[in-house]
Amino acid sequence: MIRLSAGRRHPISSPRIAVAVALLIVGGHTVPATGSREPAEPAPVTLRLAMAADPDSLDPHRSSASMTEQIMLNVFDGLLNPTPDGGVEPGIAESYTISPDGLTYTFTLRPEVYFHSGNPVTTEDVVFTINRLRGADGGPALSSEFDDVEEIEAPDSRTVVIRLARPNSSFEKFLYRAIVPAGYYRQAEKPIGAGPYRFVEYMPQNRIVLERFDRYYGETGDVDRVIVRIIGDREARLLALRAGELDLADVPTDRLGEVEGQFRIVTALANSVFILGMNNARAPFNDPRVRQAISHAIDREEIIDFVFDGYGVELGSSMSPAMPEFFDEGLVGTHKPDLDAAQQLLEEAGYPDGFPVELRISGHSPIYTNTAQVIQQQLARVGIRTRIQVIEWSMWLSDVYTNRDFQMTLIDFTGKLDPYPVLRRYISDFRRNFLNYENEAYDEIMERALRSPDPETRARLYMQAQEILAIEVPAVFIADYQFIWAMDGRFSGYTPYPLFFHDVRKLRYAPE
Amino acid sequence: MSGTPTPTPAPSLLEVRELCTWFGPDDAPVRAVDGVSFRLERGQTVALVGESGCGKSVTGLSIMQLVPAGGRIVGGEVRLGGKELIRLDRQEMTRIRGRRMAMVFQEPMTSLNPLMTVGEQIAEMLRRHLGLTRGQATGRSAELLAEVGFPRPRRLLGEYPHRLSGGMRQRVMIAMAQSCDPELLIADEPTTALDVTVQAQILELLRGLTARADTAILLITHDLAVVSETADHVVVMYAGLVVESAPTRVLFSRPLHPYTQGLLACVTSITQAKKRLRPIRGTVPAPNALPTGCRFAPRCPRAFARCPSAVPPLVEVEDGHQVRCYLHPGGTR
Amino acid sequence: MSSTYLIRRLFSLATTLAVVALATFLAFEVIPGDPVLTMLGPDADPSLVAAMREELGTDLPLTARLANWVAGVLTGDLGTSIRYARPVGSLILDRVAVSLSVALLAMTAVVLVAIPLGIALAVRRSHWSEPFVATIIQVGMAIPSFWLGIILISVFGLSLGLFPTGGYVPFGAGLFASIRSVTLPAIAIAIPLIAVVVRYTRNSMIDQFSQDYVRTAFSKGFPVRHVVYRHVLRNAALPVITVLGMIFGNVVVGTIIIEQVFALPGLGLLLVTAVSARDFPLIQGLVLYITFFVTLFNLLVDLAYHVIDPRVELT
Repeated sequence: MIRLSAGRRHPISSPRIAVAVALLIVGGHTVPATGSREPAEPAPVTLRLAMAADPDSLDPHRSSASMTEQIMLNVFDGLLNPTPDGGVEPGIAESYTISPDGLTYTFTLRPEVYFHSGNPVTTEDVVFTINRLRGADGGPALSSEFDDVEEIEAPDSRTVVIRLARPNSSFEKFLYRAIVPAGYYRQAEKPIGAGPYRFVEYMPQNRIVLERFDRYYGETGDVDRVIVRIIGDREARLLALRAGELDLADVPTDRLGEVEGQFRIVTALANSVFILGMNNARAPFNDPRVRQAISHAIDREEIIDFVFDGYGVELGSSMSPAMPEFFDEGLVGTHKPDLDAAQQLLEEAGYPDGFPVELRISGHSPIYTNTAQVIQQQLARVGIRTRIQVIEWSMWLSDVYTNRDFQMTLIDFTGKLDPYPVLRRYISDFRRNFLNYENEAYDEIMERALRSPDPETRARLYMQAQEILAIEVPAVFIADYQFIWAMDGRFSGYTPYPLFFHDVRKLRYAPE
Repeated sequence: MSGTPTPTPAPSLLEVRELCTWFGPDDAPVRAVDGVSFRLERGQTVALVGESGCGKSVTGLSIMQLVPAGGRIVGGEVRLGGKELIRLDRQEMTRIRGRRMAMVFQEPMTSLNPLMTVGEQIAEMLRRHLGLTRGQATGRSAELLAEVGFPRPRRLLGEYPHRLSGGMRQRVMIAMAQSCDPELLIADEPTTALDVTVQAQILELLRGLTARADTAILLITHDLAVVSETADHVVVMYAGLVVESAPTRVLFSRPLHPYTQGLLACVTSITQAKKRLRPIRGTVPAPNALPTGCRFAPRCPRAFARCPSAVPPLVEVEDGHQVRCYLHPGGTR
Repeated sequence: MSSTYLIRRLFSLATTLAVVALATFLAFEVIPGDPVLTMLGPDADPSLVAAMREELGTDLPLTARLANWVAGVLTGDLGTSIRYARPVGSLILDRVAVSLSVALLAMTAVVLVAIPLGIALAVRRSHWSEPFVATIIQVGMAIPSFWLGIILISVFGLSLGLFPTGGYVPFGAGLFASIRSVTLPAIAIAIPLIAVVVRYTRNSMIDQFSQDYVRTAFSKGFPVRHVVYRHVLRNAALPVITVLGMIFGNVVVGTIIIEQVFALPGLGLLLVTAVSARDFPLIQGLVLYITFFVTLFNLLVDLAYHVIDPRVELT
């Protein structure tokens, strides 16, 4: 809620009226919440948004939940920062060069960049950050993304040089990871970054508060304060939104009607890949014809209509159109809904009458349970009798994802800035290849893509890899669904990214 | 104890006239008490006698106006010292209970409040009705307990009922009932639940009460042995009606109603060491299925043609001796 | 009350806590699920997973973990939550403030509304009102708290704007705002409980009214008010106190559904999160706390019995 100025007390009971009144207070009556630059400044602008779960960790190097990133990317800046089109742009590094052999990255730091603690960001902090992530600071490695780093040094006070042991075309995209103050290990309690918003407080299962960091080197937009309410129950989130207690919250597609008039609706592709995963090591899924038959039997459009109310796009392989550079539209519809083709493939594989199968899914999201029901009906058309087993999320992670004990499952993988981590899931010896997909050709293409310094070659190789996946169907690639956000009409300029990120900097605010 | 009662010209202490107390639905009432009349003079003990279910307890409760849920007094009069009670409102009746008439119940085990000390239960009467202070009430409570025969009454004040025996509790009940010096004490089967030895103590206590304080007692009992020792006058009830009423000596020597005769025949008399028990055959009729005519007729060894025709009237066959039986149609009236 | 009694009860409390703690420990040994993976999700970086497992010692054998935990508890250290990277003790303590304020508010409402109402309904019984009252009580008890919560939010939060639709404001941020933030949840908790307690009070009173000592009290010439308040109430209180004690014990350790609907960071919500996150230190801490409170309330109810009813011996 927008804070009323100190010294003014209004007998107001409704938070909605309080907001309205607060907005009417203009001019010298108010004392701004953060450092004043001008004598007459309007009341501070607060953005109140909702989050469905607690952050996994406030320490940016110990967090991997996209939900956390959505908020905390506002607190941290990297050497490079993500761009809305899926690229990276200079952040703490003012400029950088990559040697032609793809092994040496040289960064020139921007002058006058400060941490929220007030200390300037130095090359020492950058070196510390990279060393912490790769486990060269005495602690364990916190990210395998930096495994290829051989050496990092700071030849002068504004230059950092990172040398890789071998080329890694994804490395550039990893460099949006947060730069943190050297020697500071209490990020999980009180995060300190160099981003546009500084962390104020966190009360688990209650809220996170951020405030504009006035010494941020870039533009910070209109929002002075961010209050993130943690509301796990979707009904409660919707009610809070409708009561005017939130300015930005997700809305389930089937409830859009309740908020459409009152709020600005923002939609964006989630850059996720929602799949029907099959255990490629187990019969009958070890036969590609069976997987293709299933791919033909699945009507993706029907799923999108039924589960996402049409807010989604069909996929043909493991890549979302949110990554335009790597998305191949031609792969969509590789296996069109075709029951005859499905039936024929099943017959060829020796299953003319289909087979019974267990679809083991996590119950933590209605997306899975709803989709499972549609799939159950679709597969029944070709004689595949599906039994749906709903289990708890952490059981799914241990039984299905880690122990690979399943026949079929549903999962929705969130996207990354770089295609490699998205496509890596199908590499034979990758630890998280829980679908047990094995294809030497695929492994080789992926390795070449990773090591190729030339962006065009790399893009071509990733397309090839996707083509293999589209034809071989280690999983049925169903859809990327859209996020639907309801935003208070006074805010504008919501900018979607191909990763989870509410970029508060870019929001504009205009009182009604 | 204070005050001797005013002499004879005054009305009877208690006069019950045509009292009717019914239970159950209006269209099919259970006539527990169906026109009972008797009177009780100051200092006198009258016994209300009959088998269980004859309506004697309900009569006692009707006089107190403590008829249990589902029951209601539908007619008749209850006069205490000439004052009609039935038409009094609840507040006025509340003022009479405890002060002018008190009651002792059959079940000493459950009749006291288990969560209050003996002292509290006596003292609350003294404080509420007589306006005594806490200290005065405590002192008086101890005296009252001494009067009912507790050797160390002070120590008893702080005891809870569950620590006392049945006889002790009944004595506490009597002390409590007596506390405001009532003119009338209704004792409903006060000894039934007690051991024989204790029974005698309690009866002694009641007798002492009439003697010392001139309190009148309505003794409700099924035990004729108790009656012979205690009562001045006996009223015999059967199926909601008074069937015979006579001074104790007269009743025991010349019972007129076959039912009374039957009852007396059942008694193991104190004077006779051993007597053959001759129970009355049959059972008491259910109050909702009363026979027409004389209600005892179906069980009566001497019933004749007239008996089922109509309920016989209660007639006075000699001074103070009334009977409801066609065998004794005349009388002096 | 004898001191041996208290010592015996405290000993049995300690035994209960130990048994419950061990049972929980073993239960989660059998139930699949990995705290690190659950927290970090399917996108977790393998290096990070390994680093955190190492740190948390989740790879240690059962006996070693149990020994570490017991040693910690005995020195007053409940360990560190995996999910929240904070000391379990302080995490629970933060939530106690929330759950306790909701519980106290709800229980105050229950006691102030249900007991007088139960007494009144017992004293003023009439044929025409009986089925009506019974229906209302039935409905009150049967209302799902989730639904009740949503209704309250819709009416008082959404339409009238009198209360926030959810969330919790700590005491520090203003007592009034803090109480306001727990009012609707407290009402949502209280309504079904009021129905339960009204029914208990009323039935208990009616039950007592048919007791012989009540007739005695009336025969002593006391008005209804005196009989009800001096005699019946204390006797009728015993079952009601048992129910109130049980209810308070349950409410004070958190109310999962209400906390979810109102986005209230209480103990219930914390427990749900702890279990689904397989946050073993937090689960253990919460189980200890909940067991302690429930046992404590049983003890208090027993003591209350003893104070009220001299027939109840503390053995």
